[in-house]
Amino acid sequence: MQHPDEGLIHTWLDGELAVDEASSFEAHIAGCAECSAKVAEARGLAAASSRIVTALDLVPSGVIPAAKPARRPWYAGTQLRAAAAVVIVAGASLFVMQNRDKSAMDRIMSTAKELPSPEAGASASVAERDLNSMPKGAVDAATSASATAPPKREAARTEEKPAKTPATAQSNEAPPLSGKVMGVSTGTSGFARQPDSSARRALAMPVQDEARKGVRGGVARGVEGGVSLTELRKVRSDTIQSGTRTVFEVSPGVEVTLTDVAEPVSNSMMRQKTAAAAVPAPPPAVAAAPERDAAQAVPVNTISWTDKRGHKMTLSGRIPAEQLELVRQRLPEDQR
Amino acid sequence: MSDVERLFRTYNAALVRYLTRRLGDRDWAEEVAQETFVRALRQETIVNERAWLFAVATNLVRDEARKDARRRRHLSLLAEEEREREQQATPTTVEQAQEAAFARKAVDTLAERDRLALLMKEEGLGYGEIAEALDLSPGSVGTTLSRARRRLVEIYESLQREREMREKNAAS
Repeated sequence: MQHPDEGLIHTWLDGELAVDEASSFEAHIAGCAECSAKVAEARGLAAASSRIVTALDLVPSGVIPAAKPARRPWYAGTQLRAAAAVVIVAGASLFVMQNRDKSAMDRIMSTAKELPSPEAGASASVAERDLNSMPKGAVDAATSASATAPPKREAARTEEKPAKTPATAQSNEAPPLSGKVMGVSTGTSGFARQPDSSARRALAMPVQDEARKGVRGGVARGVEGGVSLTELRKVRSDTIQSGTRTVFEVSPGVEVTLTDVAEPVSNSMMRQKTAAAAVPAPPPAVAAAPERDAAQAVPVNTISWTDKRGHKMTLSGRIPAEQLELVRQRLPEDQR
Repeated sequence: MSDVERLFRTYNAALVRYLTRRLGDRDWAEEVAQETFVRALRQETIVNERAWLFAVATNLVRDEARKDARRRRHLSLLAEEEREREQQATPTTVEQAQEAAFARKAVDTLAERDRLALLMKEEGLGYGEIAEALDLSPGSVGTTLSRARRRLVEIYESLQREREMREKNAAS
């Protein structure tokens, strides 16, 4: 055998040589001092590079500034803050206008309704782009645009941005943002009696986004209409047709209802089979963004899912769907 | 347990570690990993699961694709559980932090293909899987890895030497 090259040595070290190749390799190494020195060196390199790669895990990158250049574009932070500002200005000005001149408010609202939504979406994105270059000047223009934009679009935008942000930057920015957002929900309740909910829904979006983050962090007190969750306390449990209904107290004076229905075995097995064949495990069906009609506090929200035993589970109560999700996380594992 | 949950539970930790090491950003890594599992759902058949997942994750990093937030929400809850179970490693000393910074710098200096092959190897992928994931010929994986390892160690050591020199100069 010729002297093996470095690649072959590493292949052998990694145990990737075929049996016959390995034995002729080993025979050669045994008789060749030069090559056995190379093997020793390669062994050292492999071990050292393993250690170096493991050292990557010691610290989340970004904590040490010198380690890597900032990946975050300069405007990313501004954009988030600008979005929050738009929401605040929109909330505040609608509130002020309503108090000063109700008919003017109605005019604006009806104009808002008449705008076809694709156009509104476009103008919202234009406004948002303007915001990047000149956040202050564009705020007024964006006020009406973002209030009429389809809420989904807003949600998608706000949802994407924080997710990309490196963890460290996020933790720096989250507190002021959530402070502002909480301010919005106070402003929102100011026009609770307004019949049109689209503007309000658009305003409520960042709040919901905040709630989503709350789910991740396990805290969701920033949610509009949210409560501060305590330990689950079972209030009562009734037997209903083919299942049980359990009432939990999740916060002083706040109750949610859990319905647990065991479906016929054949039925649920069939469904599982189809699910495996065709579609992904269904994500927990979070009830569509509830119309936040502030006139009656928080509406009843419902989430439902199929648990590990195949039971159809439904959880409902007068707390935001995001918090229902948190409650769900606290259920015994086989019921989640 | 559905198929995607099984995939997730089996490979998520390794995939996230691989991606975090590659990207230097845990949140981003989790995002890419989740997107990878979403893609896996749409795939009819996957012959070698691990190679497939690592290949797709690697391509996603390249494309910076972030889509389908709705389906990912479910997975992010699972990821949250998993994250809670783990103990996050935090540097306890200045030396460790320095070590990590040098490691990052050294890994970032490698050529992309060398770096990916090395990080996959560290996650336990075999030569065949690495070749499949990176579209290399199986015969060249050994050469790729030997080059990556040598270069990584050389750069890391030169960073350490530089630092020692600086400290020496500062002291005198």
